[in-house]
Amino acid sequence: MSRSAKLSRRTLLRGTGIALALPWLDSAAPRAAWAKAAGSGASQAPVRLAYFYVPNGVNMNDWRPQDGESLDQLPKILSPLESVKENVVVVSNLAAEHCNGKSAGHEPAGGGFLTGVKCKHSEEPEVGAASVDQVAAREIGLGTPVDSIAMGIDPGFRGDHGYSGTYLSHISWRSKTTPAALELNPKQAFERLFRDAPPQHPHWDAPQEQRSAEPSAESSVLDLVREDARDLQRRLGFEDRRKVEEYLDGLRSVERRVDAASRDSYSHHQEAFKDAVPERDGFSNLLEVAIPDGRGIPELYADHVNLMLDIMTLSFQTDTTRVASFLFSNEKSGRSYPEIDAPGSHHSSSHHRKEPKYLDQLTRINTHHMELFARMLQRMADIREGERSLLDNVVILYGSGLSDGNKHNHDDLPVLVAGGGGGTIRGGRHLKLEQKTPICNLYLNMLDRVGVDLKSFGDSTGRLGQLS
Amino acid sequence: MNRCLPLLLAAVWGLSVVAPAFAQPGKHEEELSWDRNIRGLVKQYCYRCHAGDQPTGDVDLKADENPRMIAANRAVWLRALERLQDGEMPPEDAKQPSDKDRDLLVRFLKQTVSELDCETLRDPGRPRIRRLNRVEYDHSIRYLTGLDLRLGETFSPDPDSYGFDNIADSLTLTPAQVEQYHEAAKKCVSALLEQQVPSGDEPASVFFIKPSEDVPPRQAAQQILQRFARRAFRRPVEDAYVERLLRIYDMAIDEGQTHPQAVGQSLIGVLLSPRFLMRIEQNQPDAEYAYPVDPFDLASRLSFFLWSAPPDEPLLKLAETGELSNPDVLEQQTRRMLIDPRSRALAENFFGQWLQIRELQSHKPDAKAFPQFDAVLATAMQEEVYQIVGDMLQNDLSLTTLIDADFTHLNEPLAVHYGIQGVAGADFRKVGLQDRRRGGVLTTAALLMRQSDPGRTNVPRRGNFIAGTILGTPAPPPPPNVPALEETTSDQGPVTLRAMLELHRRDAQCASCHDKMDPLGFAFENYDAIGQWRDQEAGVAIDASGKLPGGQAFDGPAALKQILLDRREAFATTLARNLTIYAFGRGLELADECVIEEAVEQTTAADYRFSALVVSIVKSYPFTHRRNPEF
Repeated sequence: MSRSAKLSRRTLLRGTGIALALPWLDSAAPRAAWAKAAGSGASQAPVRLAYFYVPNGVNMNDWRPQDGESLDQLPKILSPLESVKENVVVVSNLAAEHCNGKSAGHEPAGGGFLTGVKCKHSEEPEVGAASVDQVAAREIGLGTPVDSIAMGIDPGFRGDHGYSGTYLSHISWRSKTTPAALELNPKQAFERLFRDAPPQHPHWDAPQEQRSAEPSAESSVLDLVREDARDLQRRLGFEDRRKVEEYLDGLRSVERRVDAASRDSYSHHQEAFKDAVPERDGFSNLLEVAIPDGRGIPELYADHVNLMLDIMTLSFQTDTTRVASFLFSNEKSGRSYPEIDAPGSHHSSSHHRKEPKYLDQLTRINTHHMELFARMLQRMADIREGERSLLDNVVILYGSGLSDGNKHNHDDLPVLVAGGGGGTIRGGRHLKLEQKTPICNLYLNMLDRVGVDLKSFGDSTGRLGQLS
Repeated sequence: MNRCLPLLLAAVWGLSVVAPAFAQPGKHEEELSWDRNIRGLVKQYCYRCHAGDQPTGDVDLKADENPRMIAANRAVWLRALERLQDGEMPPEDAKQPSDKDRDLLVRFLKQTVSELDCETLRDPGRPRIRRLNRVEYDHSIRYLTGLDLRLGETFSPDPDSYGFDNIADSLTLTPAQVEQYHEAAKKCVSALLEQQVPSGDEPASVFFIKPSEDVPPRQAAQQILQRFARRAFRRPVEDAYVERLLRIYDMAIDEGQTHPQAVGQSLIGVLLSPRFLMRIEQNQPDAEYAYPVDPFDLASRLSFFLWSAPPDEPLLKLAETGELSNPDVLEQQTRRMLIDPRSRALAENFFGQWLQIRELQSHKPDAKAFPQFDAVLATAMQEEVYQIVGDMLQNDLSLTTLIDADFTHLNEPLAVHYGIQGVAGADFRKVGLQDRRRGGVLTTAALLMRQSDPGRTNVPRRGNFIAGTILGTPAPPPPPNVPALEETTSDQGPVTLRAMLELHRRDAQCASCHDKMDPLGFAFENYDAIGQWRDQEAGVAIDASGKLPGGQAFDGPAALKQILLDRREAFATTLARNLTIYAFGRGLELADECVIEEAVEQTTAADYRFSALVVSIVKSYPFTHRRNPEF
């Protein structure tokens, strides 16, 4: 497909039907380099992993494909996937029993979705375990500049009935009590991911350079801070030491990046692509141009989502990270979407009481989210990685911890898997499982794709046999 | 007042570190026996609904099998006690206990859960490290540099617990956040350097001394760093630490950086230090029991509570001399800080979060239904609440000002919104009110809009806000599989929301909660979804009347305000609970009940002045003491 070449220079056009978007990291030039790399016995690009969450369940009537394997006729909400459906498996009858919470439909559904274990009923958040994305990040995240990213749109709100609001706003948990910090601001996210260097193509088989950085005033600052923290730690109690340890963890990741930047100002991967990326300048003014109001958050919801997903795509493409999560909004979100003629509160609409006017609003919102997701998949399909596309090299879960927002049920979940998993997933299918199959079974299949081999996760009872 | 607490409770709450221990357990003339007198009654009147897997209102009384467990589950049983006393429980349609049985139950619960021996129940709670949240970070940078950079606004959001973002155990730290701190420290120092070069003496606060013939550069750097680190760490710093900072300075000079740049490198080190980013209090390793908190830590507790900011110079001075630990001085300082403009932070961060309007800008009313709404109006709505709170703080007013008042603060856009004449311009001013449609915070557009849906009012939500947030008695969560509220139509066309909700409440399962929420919510039906007054909706006159569960009838917001004023003690208690959580940065523990009780007593005795509540919390045992962590 040549769409990427066509779009590569057309950045940030508004009002002509083209949404606000990041410029493309041109894939034409690297194709030659890919060939070169392939000729030298290049290793394959790795499989990247992502989890997408939609709050408040969906209108299942407009989500559920007809019986049978075929995706020929996509239901309303899934219809935006038409052009990429060969890379999509819709999975029916999954359940997340661990999202059942005493007296709360939404909090444990969001906070517990990826953990596979029940959340504690408490104002100080404590989920049952680290979430599946973070379990993966511990294994496959260490080789990349950032081990994982957790992205979202809305900051969330206070919880209800004795649950912390954090359960609503976070699906990714580094540990039982530590939610992964949420990136909501595209400007901030871009700066953090790509630091002072423009995004670069990775070179998968180049050897990592071992030379260590010269000591500088900048690195000495970090040394000082670390020593200071260690001194402090020695004088602290057990709990407090753990808190300072969290800080030291963070400091190590800063050091890693400062170090890497001083060795190679372009990328943590190597030199080979330096000359092969003519579009580098396209990014230099990105932040000023892309984000009009200066604070970094676009007014329009779709623009905000598109920018975040472009950044996620870019960070996969450049191998800045291999693990990501994204919330279209916090669980129990009351966001309104007047721009798609759904001006009511999303949460209120999800309590549709079977009234057509609410179900209709709900379907609009669900379809809108899917459009934005499909756009990202399309972009990924257009990015070449050797013989494959980026979309072939990802495995992405899209779903919700709730099925019908009116009933707050956690079985019959709306779930689909997108991406080729490195050529291991056979798409274009509707996979109808036995009722109440634990969603953790699917998590295991996904972990397999990125080379993380677990016997079990959460309440899993086995693996799904039919994904490939 | 006889406040006693059974001995066993001490063990449950782990108070063994507190001296004196429970040498003299409370004595009652006639101890009621759980097994002999009470268990049978609870079983007979309560278990039918409040036991098992899906107990009504999520309240399972059967789980607490003895007085010790009942005491440990105090909050729930206190509510049971309240309902028993009100006659609200058992519900009308259930078997009613005789007066004698009811009295037995009430007496037992009072003995077991409601009477605290606050003399012995003194515990500052487990000590915690508190990371600066985004707001505190920004206030700190502003205080240290004089620059309003708002770098924290783009940090990842801080976790919410109890409705607040300053809860110690929830303020965890991840690599992404440390990276954000690193970026912010660099940006902050560049901004300082940019400011510093052109003007030469501004901001004098950081580069307050320049290298000269008398002052060699390294000495100037030393003084700058010493002062900056003391302010950043909120306590004096060791010379050895400053010496280490100076080694970075030396290195940068060797690399060819200028004097200000080299100082800047060291400043980054200070801004990245855990001693700046976290509040880590001093231990007294030899202390067996709780001890008065270090005066510098006390200064920080106070200033982050009232200002969301580090202690200023007067506070640090009083900490240095130790005078701050004197309760009179502490009270003086508290009062000074409450009337200081910096207490705006308390309005924004405590009241803004408690009343759920700090993020008002994210609420987007339906533009088709409310074309007159815009961001200017939203900001004005929010500002009104902060102004009312500010007025209460500056002028030492009663906390009932929040429920009702004969004034408010308006600018032109908001006055137009309210239909009040004679207010011109964007500036806010105090405006006297002719009627009780406005006045207090409950009838501000900000709160009314926040508890609405984008296009319509939300009666149960508004009601639940009053019942829960304001009066401290939230409705229990809806049971699973709530029966659908089918759209009901009649020959006359669609039925009104009120009629529909009344239908809903005919179902006993729904009624138990909605009876508490809906009537309170209907009292505000004269305000639309953006808080504008209306007499009718779609051509039908608004009916804002209702009846509270106790049977009290009212009509409209003025009448409801009067009811709330009559319940000012409940309101003061809820406010005190929330303020204590916010001040302590943690959930409430048993000993904190004494703090709350005392604070409410103090404010009651002082005509409900809000300042009395704050002073009492600040002077409380947990606020002024700490114990050692477990090593």
